[in-house]
Amino acid sequence: MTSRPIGKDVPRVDGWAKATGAALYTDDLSLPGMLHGALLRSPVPHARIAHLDTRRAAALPGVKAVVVGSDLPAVKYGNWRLVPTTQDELALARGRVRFVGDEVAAVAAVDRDTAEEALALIRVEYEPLPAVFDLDAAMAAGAPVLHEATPDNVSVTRKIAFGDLEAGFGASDYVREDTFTVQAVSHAYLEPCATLAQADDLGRITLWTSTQTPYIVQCLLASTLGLRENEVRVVKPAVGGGFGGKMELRPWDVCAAFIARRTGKPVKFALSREEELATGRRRHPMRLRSRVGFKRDGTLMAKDLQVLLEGGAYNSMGPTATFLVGNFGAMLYRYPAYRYAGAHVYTNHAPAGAMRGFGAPQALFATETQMNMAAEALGIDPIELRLKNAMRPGDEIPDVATVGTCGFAECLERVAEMSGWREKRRRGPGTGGGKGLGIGCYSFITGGVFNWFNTPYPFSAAEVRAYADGTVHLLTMASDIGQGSDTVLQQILAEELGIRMQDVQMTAGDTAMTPKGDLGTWGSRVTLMAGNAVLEAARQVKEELARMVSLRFDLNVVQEVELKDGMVRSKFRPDRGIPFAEAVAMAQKANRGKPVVGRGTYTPRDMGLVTPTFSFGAQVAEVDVDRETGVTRVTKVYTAHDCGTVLNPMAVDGQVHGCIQMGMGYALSEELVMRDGKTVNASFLDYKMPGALDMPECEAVCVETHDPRGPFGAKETGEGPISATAPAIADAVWHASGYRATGLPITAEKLLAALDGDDSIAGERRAEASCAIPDPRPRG
Amino acid sequence: MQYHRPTTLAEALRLVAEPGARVLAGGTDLVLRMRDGRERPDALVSLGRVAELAGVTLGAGSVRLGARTTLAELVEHEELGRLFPALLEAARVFGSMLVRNLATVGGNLCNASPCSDLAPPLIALGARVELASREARRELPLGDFFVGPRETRLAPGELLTAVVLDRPGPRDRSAFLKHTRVTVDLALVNVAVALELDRGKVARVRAVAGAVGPTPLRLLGIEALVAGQALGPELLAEVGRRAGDEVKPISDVRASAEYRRMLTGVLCKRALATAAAAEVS
Amino acid sequence: MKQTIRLRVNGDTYEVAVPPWRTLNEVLREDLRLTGTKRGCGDGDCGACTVLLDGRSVTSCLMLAVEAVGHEVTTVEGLATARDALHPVQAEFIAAGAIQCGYCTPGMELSAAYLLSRNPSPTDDEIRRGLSGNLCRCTGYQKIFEAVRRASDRLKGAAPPDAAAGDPAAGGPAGGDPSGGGARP
Repeated sequence: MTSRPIGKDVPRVDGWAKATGAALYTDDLSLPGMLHGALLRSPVPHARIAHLDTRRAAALPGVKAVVVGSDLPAVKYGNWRLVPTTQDELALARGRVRFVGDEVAAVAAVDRDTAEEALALIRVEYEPLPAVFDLDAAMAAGAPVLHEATPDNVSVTRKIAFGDLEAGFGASDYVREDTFTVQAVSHAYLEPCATLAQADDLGRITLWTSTQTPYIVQCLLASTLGLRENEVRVVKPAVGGGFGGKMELRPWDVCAAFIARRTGKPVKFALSREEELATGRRRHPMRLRSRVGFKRDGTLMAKDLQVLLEGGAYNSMGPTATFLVGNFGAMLYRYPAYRYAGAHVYTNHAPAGAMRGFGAPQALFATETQMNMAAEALGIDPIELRLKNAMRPGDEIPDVATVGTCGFAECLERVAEMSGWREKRRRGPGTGGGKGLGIGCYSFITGGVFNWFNTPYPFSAAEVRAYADGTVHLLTMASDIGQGSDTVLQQILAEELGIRMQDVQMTAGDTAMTPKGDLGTWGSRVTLMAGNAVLEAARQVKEELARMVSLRFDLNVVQEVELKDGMVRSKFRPDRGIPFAEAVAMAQKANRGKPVVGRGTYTPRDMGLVTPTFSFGAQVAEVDVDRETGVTRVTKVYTAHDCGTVLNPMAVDGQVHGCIQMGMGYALSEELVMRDGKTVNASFLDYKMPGALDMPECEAVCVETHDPRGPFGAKETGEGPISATAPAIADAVWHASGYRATGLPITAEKLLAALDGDDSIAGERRAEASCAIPDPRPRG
Repeated sequence: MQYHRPTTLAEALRLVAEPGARVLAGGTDLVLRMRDGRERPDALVSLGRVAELAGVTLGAGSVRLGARTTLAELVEHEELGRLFPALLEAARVFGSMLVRNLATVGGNLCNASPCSDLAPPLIALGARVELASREARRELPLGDFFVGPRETRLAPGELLTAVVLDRPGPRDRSAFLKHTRVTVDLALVNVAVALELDRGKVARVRAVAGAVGPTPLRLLGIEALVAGQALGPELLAEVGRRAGDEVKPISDVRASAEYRRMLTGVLCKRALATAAAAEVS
Repeated sequence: MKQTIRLRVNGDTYEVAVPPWRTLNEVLREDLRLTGTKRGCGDGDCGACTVLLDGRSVTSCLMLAVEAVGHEVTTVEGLATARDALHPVQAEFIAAGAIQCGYCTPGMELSAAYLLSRNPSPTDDEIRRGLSGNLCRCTGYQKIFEAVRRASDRLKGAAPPDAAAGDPAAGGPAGGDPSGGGARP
């Protein structure tokens, strides 16, 4: 293994464990005497709990605990700790349920069958309340209220505005206004959520849980149970995917910990796939009304974007989504004037939360589709129109964000070349015998800088312990949930210290063992934020060793010392130096045995409201549309993307491919279908994701930039590309068939109905729907 | 609940005759139904070891598919696909590889799911089912076997032991098409056709559509329409327009009734064209 | 209601008392503690629970444990013969970057091993068909296809052509050199 791992196809450090089945996920863990938990969920969308009788369940032999809402402290939780009024969830309902699946009671028993049996013995009388299932019903005057503190059901509003909007539209030659609708989809991570809690003699908790944010779970679980933060230890085992769906404290975490404290026995909860799909977090359905103005030559003049987010019964990560969709609406292009207003609306559906791309898949489906529509109307090639308006390095969204490095224009050029765009796109829509190609683009954040969790700790931290045997131990709370961050962080460390990957060991995602803090895996933040923390820690070690070696060999410590190939030595006279291990021993000896340790942190400062830096990319999809059945087959997807410097090409490819799979499902086949508040397709039999036989060939190239804010110049790659795929496919469908979709998913049935002239099925009727944002009221 | 694993057909028939007994073949459906409580049999009679029910037998004039032949075995059989292209295609797109390795011919037919991929091609190919009980054996055209969703003409204590197909003649062709949301999926609609072509004209035909009614449906009007005719573009277009009139689909989360009707026409038209164009092997 | 059964798993014999409705997946994971076999949906739709039964890939969540009696079960734990002797499929999954969260990996590898045991030189379409029962939500499948292609090449290179059609349940890669999997990269 090379000692310069950066930029190489380094295989995953957890590859062996995962390939052999040795990797332990939460549901693989068990402890002696462990109880099995199960949750009773509301079968109705909105009701008062008139009566709750658990006596028969509690009396069932083998049942060790039955817990209802009134047993738990009445402490509401939610990720937006900065604004406590947004924290609106209880682990178990107290007197009221707000969606089908709302947790009502928890049971723990000696085995799972007994726990399930006990659930059936709990008697609940629900007094139905009127429920609201869509934006219009929820926002209508006199609509049923979900939370008394929010009488209009609008829990969050956000605005962004810059430039002179009226002047912009006034100077426009061409103005269009469109409404877009996007559906709820599931993360559908393969590992259902699971949690295992153990209490000690003082009631302190260790919680192994399938999470992407151990620190957030630690803090919120502690405050929910009335414990001090560090009386809860959260350990992240191997996690089978999260995609944003595992970044909150969840009821089963609270129930497991509470019952473990009460019974003194370890307690495990493991969700079923049906629970995941029927009641789990999902991507926000949205209605987006966008008005955009251009000069005749294609120059963008103004954009006015109004968005309603359907949040479901609780806020979850809705406040962030409500801001981010407005931020992403302003990305990619230079808007001289821009106005955004967004509102997060409660309904009696399972709550929406964060999901890969967070706000961008919705915002950019609208932006990119509208760009394609405008290009058509203006008679300008869609890529030319984009090039004319593309963001460039140094551009800014006033008061919100600054664009640092930006390879967007080059991505557009590259993707045009790769795909043969200019040749293939020359023909008109619907003239290619069912074949077509289309474009969509993206920009995404590399970590968020806004401190919604109100953490008093660094956003990321790392400790590096160097040992005299030549090994190095990296400790960080950063959480690999499958994206490969453990590997990349070890690459960064090995590169900086000039050692091999196998010299590095790692402890991660354990709140008791790793330095505080880390906000977890979301917003594509880990490589940049944890990476910078690792880099800082590594540099401290490096400096100490360099000082030792320069003293011994009389080297110029500023210019001459390098750590490379396992040596600490002179750059110019490689014979002057010693192995890394010896240098560590020497440093220790010189400091009376004090270990050689580096501690790094990263907290963004003065980087606007959004992110340290943005990724960019452009994608072209090729499709085949069957005019008789409406089936769209995606045959090829080309991606050109700017993720800064590529730290691990194989891992970057994997992220791009994964985004395409999810983006394609979003475009064509995935939707959580709701009827009377129930998710009617809560199984993989009817929640249809693209599989091995559906995936197109994927070709991707990196347009490398070097971002000064990223470790070794890196930016994000794990989320951005997902937002380009749906608009690219939708545009390709238009090119292939002549039908322009403004709603997702473009199922075969919808497409065929639209091509046959039946617009009511295709979702066009929503074009008249209102996106008016109510005036913000003062809150909390 | 009792679990029995007989090794002979006689023993199996004795056990199946017990009240509350349920036959377990591949289990891909029954295990799910037991787990979520839709079925609570008193006894399971596993067919896994009954040798008489295994495998494909090629006879001089007929072909016999033992009830516990898996879908994977159908796909892998060297002769079968050549004889019955519709059956091969249906087996190839039946579930996933993992399900095909478990699911059996008999199990699929006895489930009588309206969206079975196996029933339409077998009906189109004129298959008969062999039914056995302790007392008697009988044969039934598969087309008469289905009564409704999950309902068949199996009498209590009766077991489907095999499916029997006549060997096709030199002018027989068949085809199967299935419409799904993603590739691996239940059929939203499937259509199988089997026909004999005589000097370019349809001498004999069966067309069957699945997932568009409580049982697989013979498209008798279409059969009458194309009988004696050459399958030219105009006739096929007419098939496309008319096949949907013969089916009784429902609307559900997978598709609307109207869409299913329309698909029936498209698939029927294409299946006929595919079959007619097929090389005679 | 429980009955004692003998299961052959990865060449070892286990005696367990199980009720007849217990699935093979539950018995493997909870009784035998072979947790490499995952539970992703419980409905046979995701393939995370894939095992080999007499060398054939099946969903262990749709199979009753009692039905596995008399058959040879291979789980992911039985694919490698030693820590540093991975099955070529495992080695190539690691090397090709076919693993992300890893939850689909054991099932995906077993499906790939089954495919290659029957078809040593699958076309791209045959690879896709062979993996059609295994869902992955991370990788977009591309690297998985590549890993299977590479494992196919390696199996063919490491073993005589006729041996490659062997039974992966027999322990090694199709009767070929069990160390063909190579070391951890």
